[in-house]
Amino acid sequence: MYYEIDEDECVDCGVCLRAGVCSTEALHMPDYDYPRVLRSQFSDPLVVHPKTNVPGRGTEEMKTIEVTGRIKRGFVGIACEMGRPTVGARFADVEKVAMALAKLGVEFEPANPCTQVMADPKKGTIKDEVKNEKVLSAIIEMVVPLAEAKAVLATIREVAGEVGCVFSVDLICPLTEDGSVPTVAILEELGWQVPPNGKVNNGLGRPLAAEVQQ
Amino acid sequence: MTHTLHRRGSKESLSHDFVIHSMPARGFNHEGARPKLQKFLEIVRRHGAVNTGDGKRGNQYYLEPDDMYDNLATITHAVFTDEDALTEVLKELKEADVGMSITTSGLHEKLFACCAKAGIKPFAMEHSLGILGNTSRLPDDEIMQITTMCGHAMVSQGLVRRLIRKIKKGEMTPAQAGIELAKPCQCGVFNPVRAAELIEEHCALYCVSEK
Repeated sequence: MYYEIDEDECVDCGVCLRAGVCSTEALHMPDYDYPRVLRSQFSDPLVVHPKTNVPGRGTEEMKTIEVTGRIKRGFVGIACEMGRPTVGARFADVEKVAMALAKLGVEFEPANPCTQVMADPKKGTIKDEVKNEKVLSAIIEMVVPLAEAKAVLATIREVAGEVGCVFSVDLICPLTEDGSVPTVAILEELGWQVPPNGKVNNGLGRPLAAEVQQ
Repeated sequence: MTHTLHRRGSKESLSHDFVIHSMPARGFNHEGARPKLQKFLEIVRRHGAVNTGDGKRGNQYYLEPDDMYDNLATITHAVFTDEDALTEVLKELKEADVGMSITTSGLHEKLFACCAKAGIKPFAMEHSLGILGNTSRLPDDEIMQITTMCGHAMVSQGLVRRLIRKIKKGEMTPAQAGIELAKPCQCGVFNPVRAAELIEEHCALYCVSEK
């Protein structure tokens, strides 16, 4: 059998290396410089990103929000996980979506590694030297007022036809005091079909953010 | 890191697939988190988790049980196939009150039911709004029902196809394939039991050559 790794398509996720499939240990991860090193930082969940200190390619997003208070009631978190699932994405595609969203005036999450490779986060442009890098996923992450969520989601749907990769979309919202989900009406209005599964933050982290205590 | 959000499949299949994770918030309650994460791991192990993992160091197939326990530092995961077990875990976590954030993934209606039985008021929810873009590049949905159980895409469609071939040739059982597929998912959020069920169900859809 003969295998060849296309280095331009490889995202440096480390799976083949960890699988231990080569009995003569011919597989190795080259010691790449910037910008190539971004591939493993965005693709290998065991590589801790030097800026976020979080393994993987994102932030703590909704997992700790009852403590951090980073998405408050009346706001929603929205993310476009470029390249997910499986396919991967070039940053040139990330830029197309980010630029379309930037025109709406959204502010990208500053702690997200994806925002950190932007040349101008206000415009959503990606640094030139990074645009051709390919990663398993890069997350465009933002927090917007609930009232603006509909416009943001409609733009995401519109720009989806312009990219060569796939991407998964996430919508996070704190529940109202009576336990209802404020985003349901928006999704219904947009005719956006929602899978029956997802994630719940159970509110057990302590200390609670000041906003939550009120 | 929405690595447990986009699992795919029928409601029936997803009704046996729950992920729970415990995590400190960096800069808020990270200091002294280890014994609290260890408490979480003790509880989920006692209630029969079918997979566990340390998000920074690897899953139960790579780490010895004591090694995982002794060195926990950050997000800690467990997978269950049974909502009653998840409910019991939530009850114990609420009682232990160690202050780590707890997130669960699965069918929303079941997650909310588990919370209600455990006396927990959920704080926030996250919807997967599906896959957009050039979806012609995606693998078959039957394959994705398996691969999306590792949200970081460490389980390749090629490995799924290879193991289906092995099963069809009688070289491996679906249960063994489920475990092989769980190994590359370093976080330990892959459900090997559900994978075995899916692979057994989908085997009939694929043909293998005798070569």
